[in-house]
Amino acid sequence: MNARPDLEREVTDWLNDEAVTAGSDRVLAAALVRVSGVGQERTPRLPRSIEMPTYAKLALGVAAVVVVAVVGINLLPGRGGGIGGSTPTPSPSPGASPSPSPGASPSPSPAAAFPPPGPLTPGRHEAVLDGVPLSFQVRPGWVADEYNDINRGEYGQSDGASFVFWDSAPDNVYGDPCAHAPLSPPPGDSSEALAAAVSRLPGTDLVDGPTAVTIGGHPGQSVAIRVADDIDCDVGDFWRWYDDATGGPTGGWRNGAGLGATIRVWIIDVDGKRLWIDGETFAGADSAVGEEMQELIDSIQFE
Amino acid sequence: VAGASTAVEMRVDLVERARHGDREAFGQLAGAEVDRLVAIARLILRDPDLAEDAAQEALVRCWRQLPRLRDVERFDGWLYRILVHAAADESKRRRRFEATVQIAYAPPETGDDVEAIADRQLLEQGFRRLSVDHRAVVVLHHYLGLPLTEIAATLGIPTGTAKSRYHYAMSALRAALDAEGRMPVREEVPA
Repeated sequence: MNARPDLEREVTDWLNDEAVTAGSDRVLAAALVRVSGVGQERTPRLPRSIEMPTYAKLALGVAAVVVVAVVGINLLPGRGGGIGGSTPTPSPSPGASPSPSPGASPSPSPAAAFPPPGPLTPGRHEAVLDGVPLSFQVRPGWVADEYNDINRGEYGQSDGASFVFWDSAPDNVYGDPCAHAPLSPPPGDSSEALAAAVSRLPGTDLVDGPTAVTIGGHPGQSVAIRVADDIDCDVGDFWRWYDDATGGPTGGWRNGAGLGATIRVWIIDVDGKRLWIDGETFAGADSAVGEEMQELIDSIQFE
Repeated sequence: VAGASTAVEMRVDLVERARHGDREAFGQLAGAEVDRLVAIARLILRDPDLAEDAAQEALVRCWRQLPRLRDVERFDGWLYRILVHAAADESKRRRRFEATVQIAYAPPETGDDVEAIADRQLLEQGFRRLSVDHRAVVVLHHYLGLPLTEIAATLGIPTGTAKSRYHYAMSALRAALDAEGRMPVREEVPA
């Protein structure tokens, strides 16, 4: 029956003989020309200067003293230190611990008030956004990123989804997302005004909202937009909103992957603080992905 | 060993710099990867023009999505995944006119060399009948030498799916080489 026992070797030889790289120069040249006019897909970097909660400052100070006294060296070059009384270790391993245990993965900045980069264990996780402690629940498959993102599936693909938990809520949208020109005059300071500005973002189609919502017992707004297929720039250069605390309109902006991506924004008013969470799904996404994202938002609890 | 270590460190450094928006670093990185990308794309797509388009698209997607790469040491696998997706996209474009480019095959007369050539033509025909997903697994396994577990991780699919794709593809190639040249009936067993 098995007339070709050496099929594997035959296939290996065939593929290796067939592998040619002709055209590589053309490919490289064309790709680099395209890259020269294309931005990268990034979510906002977190500011290092953002104000920290008092307890976090105290904990960080205590941790620093302990480190200096016991180890005698500075262990905080980029992501050492911690919030919530963590004890830094000489070799922090981002992502090694999937749980948000405060002592498991020390970090020095407000980013530490978010689950450390790596897979999230299914269940509830804690975060501090703009000094406001909260928790949310995830199903299996979510991974925390280093920019206060959590993602599932393949970013930019139909099974993908991405949340950004802003550590400082955006203040404005771009009046011209391709030209990176802020909306002028700014929309105003209320959640309603900001949600309305999102709903009118040029180059997008309104999916639904703005709608008054309640999240974790606090009032807010929800609005969903879809990136149009005919925007005037590469989608990586299609900037949506920004906040002054992360550097203003050229410092901390939000862009994303793919024409046809749907972004839902939740703006929550928590005792005078405004929080901003946005979640993105991509062209062809199954409705179940959106439902899972909404489930996560619905799970948010404030202390 | 020290040289290899330095080369690895330099590459990681390039990836890290490109990830943070350094276009020059990306240019160096792309220059180092493009031959391999083109070769893999050609093997999967069996069409030089589509392969060049796929490789080019993969490099552009790589640039755009690099900030999303969480572990720079997994760059290779991450890039292969992008390439396979780009190849799949190009393949969809191809389907519209694929029916017009089927190779006419006439069985050879006699002789070992002629038989070997004939076998490769049959492999070619059998391989072309496979989906891009199946071809990708075969190419990653037999050309790059990746184990199926690593292919699964690279493509973001369960190991069982990678294995079933591989076994289906190899059965199809075996069938292509048989006198009857029939395809196996079963497509894929979910993991």
